[in-house]
Amino acid sequence: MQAVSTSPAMPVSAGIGLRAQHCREILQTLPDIGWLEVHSENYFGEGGQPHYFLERIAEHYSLSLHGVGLSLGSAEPLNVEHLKKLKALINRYQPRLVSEHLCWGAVNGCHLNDLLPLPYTEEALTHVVSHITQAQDFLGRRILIENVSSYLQFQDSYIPEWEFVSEVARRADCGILLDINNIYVNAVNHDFHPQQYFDAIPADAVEEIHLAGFDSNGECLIDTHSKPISEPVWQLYRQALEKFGNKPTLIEWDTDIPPLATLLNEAAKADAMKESQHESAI
Amino acid sequence: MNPLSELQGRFSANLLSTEANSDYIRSDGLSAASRLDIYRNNVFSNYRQALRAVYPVVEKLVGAEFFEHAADHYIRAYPSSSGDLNQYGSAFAQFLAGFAPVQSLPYLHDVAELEWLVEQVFHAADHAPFDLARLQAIPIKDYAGLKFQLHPACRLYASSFPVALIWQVNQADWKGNTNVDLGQGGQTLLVHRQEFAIVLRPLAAGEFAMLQQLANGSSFTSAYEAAQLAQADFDLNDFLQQHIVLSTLVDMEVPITSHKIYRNLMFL
Repeated sequence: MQAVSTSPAMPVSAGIGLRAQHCREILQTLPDIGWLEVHSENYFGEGGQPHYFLERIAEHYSLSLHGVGLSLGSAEPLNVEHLKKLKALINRYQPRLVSEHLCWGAVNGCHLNDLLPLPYTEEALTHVVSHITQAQDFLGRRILIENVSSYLQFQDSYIPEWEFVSEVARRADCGILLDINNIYVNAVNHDFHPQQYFDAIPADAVEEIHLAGFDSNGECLIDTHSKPISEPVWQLYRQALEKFGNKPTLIEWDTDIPPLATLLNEAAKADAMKESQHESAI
Repeated sequence: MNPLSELQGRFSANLLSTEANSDYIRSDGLSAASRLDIYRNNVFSNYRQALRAVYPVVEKLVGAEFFEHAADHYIRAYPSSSGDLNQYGSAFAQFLAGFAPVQSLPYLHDVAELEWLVEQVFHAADHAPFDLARLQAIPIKDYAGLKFQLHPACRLYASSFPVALIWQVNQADWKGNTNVDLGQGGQTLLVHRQEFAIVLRPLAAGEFAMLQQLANGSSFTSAYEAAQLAQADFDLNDFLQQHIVLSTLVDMEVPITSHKIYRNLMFL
């Protein structure tokens, strides 16, 4: 079956991750924000307050569903129950974008519930492509896959991460959700130049960009989504806009969640950068 | 076993069990063990956070530090079986029942069971209120075979401890006295939503028996019999009125009565 393309009409202004504590304020103030992204699994319940808020918010904003638990890179078969819940959620909200991570999380039926890196091998590539194809067929639509941050590399890996990501998108005919923070974190942790990454990623495949803040444990940068976006990541974002053009951009913040105004300021900063990029391009 | 499957199995064993050999991970300036520590830390902190979100009262009762200790034992004994982290913790009550350090808190298991039900009720499906016109159209004499349906966001719970009280006085917004006399005995409860707030409603023995029977799909007659058996002065009219107003009862299934079957046969 041919995966159906997502709607091209995602708003150009930046979006933010929707978190439970901000729902009421967003509905009361309807801030000038392009779109909102939620973690799909947080809406796997059937009703109650989470859906009450999301249904009302969806009347005002475009939505993106971002999954953290499908575990596309696991050696074991995809969990059909999980896919069914995701499909029901897609049918309920008709989101503009649906994304998952290029990672694994489950082995022998046990979920580590984390975004774990794959070995970058032909075996893993073939495997994850078949899972993405299966997921797109089941969901009846194209999905985006996000590059993850990592704190280790496997002995087996012989394909550069950026080539692996591009090749997955090409073979599975899926989009790429390019996380600029994850590229920066990995560039520092694994000592490569982010430009190599940008050079390898096909601009057409990039359908969404993520920006977030990282932390450091003194030895490694950790992708915590707990801080403002750092200056080097803003610099990289500027370069990404040059290379990939204006793509729907999201501010992610999942731990130590600040007031809504802080997220809106970060989104405004991304918009200003897009604007100046657009002007200089003319 | 293929290499990907083997690698993922080894990684999981490194994180959750005592397996130490990690020669499939590059060291590159930082040891493989230190790199695994970062992941172990992330994974355990995700699990702990998921448990904390569902069991705030248990955490308050045992203290944050001990809760983390108990959580770490649970994590190793009960692996997560869902990609949806919100499902993690379904066996926490069962785990606490067998966890030696908390045997001096015999009510803790019931508090944990109750908190899991609260979580289920919070996320359960919505349902429109009872369509009273449908019920009013049925003559009282035909009630016997009716099968009432409970709201999807309703759970019944019986404990030999005053668990609703323990739950209430350990809520973050509770301002009153936090002492609970365990001697006051058990409670039978309806856990449900009002607007979106979770309410624990103590039920009389008859109400509890009746709702339990209806929830199990029993007919109106056998549910009523069970209620009368549990409580001699059980008032059926009060029960129906109250639980329709509260939206505990939201729908019913009307059986084809023998009378109707007979009439249908006559038309054949």
